[in-house]
Amino acid sequence: MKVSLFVTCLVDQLWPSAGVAAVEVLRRAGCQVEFDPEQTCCGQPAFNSGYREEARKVARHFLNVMTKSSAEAIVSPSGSCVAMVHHLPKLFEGTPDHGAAVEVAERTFELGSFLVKRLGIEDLGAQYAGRLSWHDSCHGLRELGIYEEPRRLLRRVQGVELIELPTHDSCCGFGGTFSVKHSDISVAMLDYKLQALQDQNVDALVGADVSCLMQIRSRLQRRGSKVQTFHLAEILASRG
Amino acid sequence: MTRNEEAKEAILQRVGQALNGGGVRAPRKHPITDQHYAGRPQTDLDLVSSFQEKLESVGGKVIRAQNLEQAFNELWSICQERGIRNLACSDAPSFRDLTDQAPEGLEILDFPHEQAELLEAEAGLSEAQLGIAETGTLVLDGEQENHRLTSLVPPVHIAFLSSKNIVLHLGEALSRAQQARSFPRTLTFITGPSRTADIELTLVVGVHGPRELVVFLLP
Amino acid sequence: MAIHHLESVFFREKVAEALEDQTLRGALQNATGLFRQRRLAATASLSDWEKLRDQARAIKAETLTHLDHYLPEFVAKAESNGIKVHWARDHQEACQVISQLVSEKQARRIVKSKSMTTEEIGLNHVLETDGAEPIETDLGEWIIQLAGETPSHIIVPAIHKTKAQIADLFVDQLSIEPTQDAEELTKAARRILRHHFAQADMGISGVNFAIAETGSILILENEGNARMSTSLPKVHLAVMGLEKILPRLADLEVFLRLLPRSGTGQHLTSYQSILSGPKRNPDQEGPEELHLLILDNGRSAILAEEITRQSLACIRCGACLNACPVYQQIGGHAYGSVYPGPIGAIITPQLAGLSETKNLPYASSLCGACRDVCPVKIDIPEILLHLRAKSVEAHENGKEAKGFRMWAWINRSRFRFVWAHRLARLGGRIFMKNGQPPQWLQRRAPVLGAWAKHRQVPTLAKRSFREIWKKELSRKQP
Repeated sequence: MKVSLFVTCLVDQLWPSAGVAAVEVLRRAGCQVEFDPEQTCCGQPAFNSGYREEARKVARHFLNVMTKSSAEAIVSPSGSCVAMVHHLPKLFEGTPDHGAAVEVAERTFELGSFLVKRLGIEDLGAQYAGRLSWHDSCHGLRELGIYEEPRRLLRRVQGVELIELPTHDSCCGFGGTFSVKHSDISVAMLDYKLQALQDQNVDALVGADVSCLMQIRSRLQRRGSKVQTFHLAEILASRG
Repeated sequence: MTRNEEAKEAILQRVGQALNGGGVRAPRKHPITDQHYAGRPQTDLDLVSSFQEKLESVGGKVIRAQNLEQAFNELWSICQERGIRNLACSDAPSFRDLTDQAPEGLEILDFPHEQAELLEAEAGLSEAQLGIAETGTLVLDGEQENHRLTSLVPPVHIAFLSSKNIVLHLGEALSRAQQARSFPRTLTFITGPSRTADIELTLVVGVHGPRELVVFLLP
Repeated sequence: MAIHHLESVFFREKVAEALEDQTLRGALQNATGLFRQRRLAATASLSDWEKLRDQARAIKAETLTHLDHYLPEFVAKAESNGIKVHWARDHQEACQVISQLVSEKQARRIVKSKSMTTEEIGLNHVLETDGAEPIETDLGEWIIQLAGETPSHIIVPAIHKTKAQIADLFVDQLSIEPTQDAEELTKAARRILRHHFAQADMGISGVNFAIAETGSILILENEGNARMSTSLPKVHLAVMGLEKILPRLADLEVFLRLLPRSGTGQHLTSYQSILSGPKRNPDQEGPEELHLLILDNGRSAILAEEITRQSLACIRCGACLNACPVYQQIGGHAYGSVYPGPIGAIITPQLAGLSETKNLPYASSLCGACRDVCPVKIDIPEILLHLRAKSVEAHENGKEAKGFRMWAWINRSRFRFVWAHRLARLGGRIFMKNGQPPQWLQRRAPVLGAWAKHRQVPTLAKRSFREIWKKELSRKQP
């Protein structure tokens, strides 16, 4: 299957290893991966802050890039950005770009759920020794309904012990500009989420959104914690 | 035009304008047409035992009695056991002339009550027109009986309920009330004793209403 | 249009205060955690929870879309039942009407059962100014009234107060013997409030649902104070927002299954009173007069758009508060409004206007937990986004707008995107020391400062994904 990678601006610039791993994993799953370097951002930061006009401008650029691709699926290592792409038809309602938004949204998938739901693949031959805990990112869980897929994928990774935190589905506090507008609340939310981390003796927190992972990692670093943070793709691409 | 008429007109006009301002509205059609509650599970559970179980789970007591006489005898001994010295009765026909039957030391306070008398009463007695099995709820129909206060003000509420009048669901209780010739002026649903958890979430029963609810189930 | 005692402009200050208060945060964590757990257990007891939510939403949508039909239908029926209906366009008119009624009835002592709407219009304050004595009779509300505070949770108004604080308050204000026992404190409240019930000239309550078909109002409670307030005094006044209507009596079956389960996790609260008029002859129990005040105060404007209309479907269960990770950290007072939490963040700005409440739509990470638990399926994040867009349109956001215009310009071109990030990478290499920007830069770029306060600043990767793709990955295509 031909797949176009929507790598997202954050992965591109801050966490490229997640993008590299996504390509590796998709190829292992038998996909032919293309990447259009014209892509930038989906427009979410502006949309979530109330700047609809600015969001439309950037999203229009995204649609122009993606409509050019003949790939059967557009796959992205971010639940949040995929959820935004699914919002685009509404954002472009009543405009000439509406058709393009619908067409692109229909073939855009989050990486983990694409592997499990579309390709029916759970075992990617990965190996990773450690106690991992899954972070359900809000948009993946509550907008896209992704819950089982990443857990199934992680359970098939040799050497992984999957630990459920009692706060597995509570928000990390990122929330885009919320993380700086209300920085104190944002971090209080995160600290609540991370409380259970120490008791459970977890080696690493794994998620499918670099925005959440960046928030979590930056706080863990500041606290001097040894707990690591990984993107799901990085674990799935790992060979031990 | 009075102020009230003016305000009414202005508000209804605002509502109408707001709703008519934006495009075509869906036609008026109540979403539930044939059944009150389409998700009602079909069940043949024993209404009486379900009622009892649910009521007990929220802290109520249930006593089964064969007939009125037995119920009253049981009632007198409960009052004696607890040292209850007076009992405020609703105006239900079964509670007329209880003074002759009541044991010594138990004063019967007949309806209507002076407010001060009611506030000092140690127990209240009423009937319940319906019971709801699903939740262990008593339904008090203010058209049938004056029992809104005897069931509320004293610290103990004792209610007589006929097992024949237990229905499965809330919806059935509502539709029975609606079938009456005139819709009851007050309809009170009671599920267990009065409760609060406003102080550090600690459950305390009997805050304003009764701390104890005893239901006599009659045939 | 306004909400009494609105302090949402001080959101930041109040948040800072709340985050400092460890007692408060401990209490919040306990309470919200317990309610979440109970709600889950209660909803699991019904096999068709989701279907019920859909039905409730559909009934509310029907009612609100045709409120111009159902509201007059309800009023006509209520009036024929002998209920005296009063209308008020805003909070001032509402208070005037009530003041006048109180003086007509020569009422001095007034027992009140919990009503958010009377808090919204600031009724107690007005009654006190008139020389009347309004007494809150819900235990939590009474505690708050004695302390001179405002409620911090829709269901548990005094959730922020410890047993010891309440005990001190009672000893101080009511001269009771010192005790730390919740049961003893509750007994004291029962004794004193009984005295008030006995002497009250008027009872004031809220309304949970108003049934158009029968012209009835329904009040839900656990304590019995609403039954007392609506039965003992000669005059009962109920106050409701105009959105509280349900078309049919049978609709209650749906809503009475949803509301207690969502709020306290009970299958049913201890008491529901369905009231359809005053007593009809002297031998009957109940008030001689039943008055009902219907309040607009900005609600009719919310009806205009479908997206905002759903806000009026709220049944005030409080589930969104317990589910909200922001509320869990800061509690209700920080929102500066009688309506706290996620529902408050959408209702307060719509009732009171955005200019004084512009922080509220942004007081959310958009996590969506509120939408998942809402028994009437209000899409709170969608409304938050809508209000944010309104706020931007109204130019409430100053400098930020320039930033986003610049951001949009950069992200519309691959060239600009790449160069902007190269510059940022270079800047990071020059200025960042151990994930910390220097003080002067934090001052110049407050966004950076806000991030760096509690977190390391992430560094941009040495090689971006697109560089790696170009050099290594694109050629390896199998």
